[in-house]
Amino acid sequence: MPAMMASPSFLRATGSTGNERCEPLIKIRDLIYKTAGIFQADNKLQLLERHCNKRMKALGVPTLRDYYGCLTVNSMHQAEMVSLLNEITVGETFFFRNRPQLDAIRKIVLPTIIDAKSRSKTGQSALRIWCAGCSTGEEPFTLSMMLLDDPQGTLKGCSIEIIATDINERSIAHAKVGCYDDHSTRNLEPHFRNKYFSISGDKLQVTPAVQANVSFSRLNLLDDSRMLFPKGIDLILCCNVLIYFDAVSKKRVIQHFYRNLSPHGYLLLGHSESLFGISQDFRLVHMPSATGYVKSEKGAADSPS
Amino acid sequence: MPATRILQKLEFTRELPTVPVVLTRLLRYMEKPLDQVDVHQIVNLILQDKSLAGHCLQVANSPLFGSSDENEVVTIQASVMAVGVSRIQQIAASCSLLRLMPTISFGLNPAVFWAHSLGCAVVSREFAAQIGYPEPAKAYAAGLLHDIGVIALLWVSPQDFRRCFEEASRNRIPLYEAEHRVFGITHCESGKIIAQNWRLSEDITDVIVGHHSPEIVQSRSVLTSIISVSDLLCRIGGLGYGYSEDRQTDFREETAFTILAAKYPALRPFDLARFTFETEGLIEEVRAVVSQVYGAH
Repeated sequence: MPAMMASPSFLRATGSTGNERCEPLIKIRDLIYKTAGIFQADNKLQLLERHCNKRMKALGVPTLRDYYGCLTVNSMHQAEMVSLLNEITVGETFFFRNRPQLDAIRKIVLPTIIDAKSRSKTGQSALRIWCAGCSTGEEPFTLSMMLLDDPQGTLKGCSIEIIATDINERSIAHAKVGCYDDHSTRNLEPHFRNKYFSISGDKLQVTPAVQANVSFSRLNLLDDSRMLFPKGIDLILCCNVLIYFDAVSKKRVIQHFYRNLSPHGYLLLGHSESLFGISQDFRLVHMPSATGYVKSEKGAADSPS
Repeated sequence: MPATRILQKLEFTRELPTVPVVLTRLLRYMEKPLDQVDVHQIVNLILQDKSLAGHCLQVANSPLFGSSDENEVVTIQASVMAVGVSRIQQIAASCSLLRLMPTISFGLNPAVFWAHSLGCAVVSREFAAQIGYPEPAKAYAAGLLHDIGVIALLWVSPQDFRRCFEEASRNRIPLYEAEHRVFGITHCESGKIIAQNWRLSEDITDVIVGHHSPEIVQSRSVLTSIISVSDLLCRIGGLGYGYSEDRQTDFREETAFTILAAKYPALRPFDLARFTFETEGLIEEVRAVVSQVYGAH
């Protein structure tokens, strides 16, 4: 394998061999971040190159430089970006996919929300969580069973409502059934597998208790009239969805999310996704190995501290 | 043990770790402009210590460094060619610290501590470069040494340190908070004594003293703040002391960030999310290098 890979960000040699060949790859990485808002760190460049190679083979394009052209100047460049993003996100979902994010939800996000709710006049009420772009249901069910489990008693008896939406009718139909193959359940710990699933042939079926907290419906995030409905949401998870939207649509969706959220609400995106340049209505917060966005009062968010 | 007693012990003990000779000389070279650095001097310095040279080669050759089997370097001279003189100085300074690591764990695993120091060095350098701080190499050196006071505490009072480390990791709080409860002082104070003992530069001493409270360092708060932000990013990113601090951080509310934003206009629209993702990548690379170096021990 030629010395193409990630010129090591760590202790990177200046002017080392291979840097010239790396340049189109870096440009592609930066283009993806600029248009989709998802970032590939230096140590993931080799992987990104593999994804590009796959697309280049499909298109019959010889070099990365030419492929960069496909992503920028060709008439089909938007469609090609979507194809590349599909490669990057692998277009799949599975149970307990992003553990640092789940830990952050359990240990920091929910306790903070519950604390804020108990201080507010309305007192404690149901926790409302929205999985926007839930695909076939693994993410909302993961949350549902994690919250049912609640070994530390974080939820203090709060009731939980998980709203799960997706644009794809077939995905929603699959989610409503709640039956999953090995691929989806490969990351499940035995504890969760035994407690929250029953065996159904060669598949696993989520139990009614897990399903009871989750309601599925079809929703297009760009449907302005329907986006006005959800109110008082405490936490929105929207992972690997906004990356497919152009900047204008992204801004529109984020504005809706802002209004959908309760005053201390959180918005969590997929791994390495960012709102930079899209919205200043949210505060970026760091939690162990995870980032999130907290709704902040209008006007305050923007001040350069 | 009361704080005054600890400080006295640190001041007067003859058992304090002595500064690695190589480190003192490297730090001096690192302050010079690159065109005034004599490459042969550096190569010879590293070669004087066989185990240091071995570690340097390991780090320079780490797969994360992008080298494949076919371009593995086997001599220090070749590694200077491959990574450049500035980077070989940074590698050597990092490896010279290995000698100071305790050989047994007092709660805190030596490999974990070295990884944190190395990680903070690398992240500080990258952060410094991105915001336009003129001396990223100095940020590297300061990041590398910022927690040297931890070693001092561990050295003079290992049992108390173990208690303190256990308290921090059990409650998932920053180490300095537990130190304060157990010792009445933190590694910032003990680090100051080491820094004076070793005659480290004022810049680096300030970082050691102020990286958890950059406002106390009046004149040189910029470098201290860079290391403070990088240290926090490392701890949040899973390269702390081997446990995660269950907290939420808004960097724009951090004093260090405020100090830097006032000084560097580039920071006002700074894409901290992107830098965080870059840091995650760096941290993975650092981890791999550390496990290689420690795995071979």
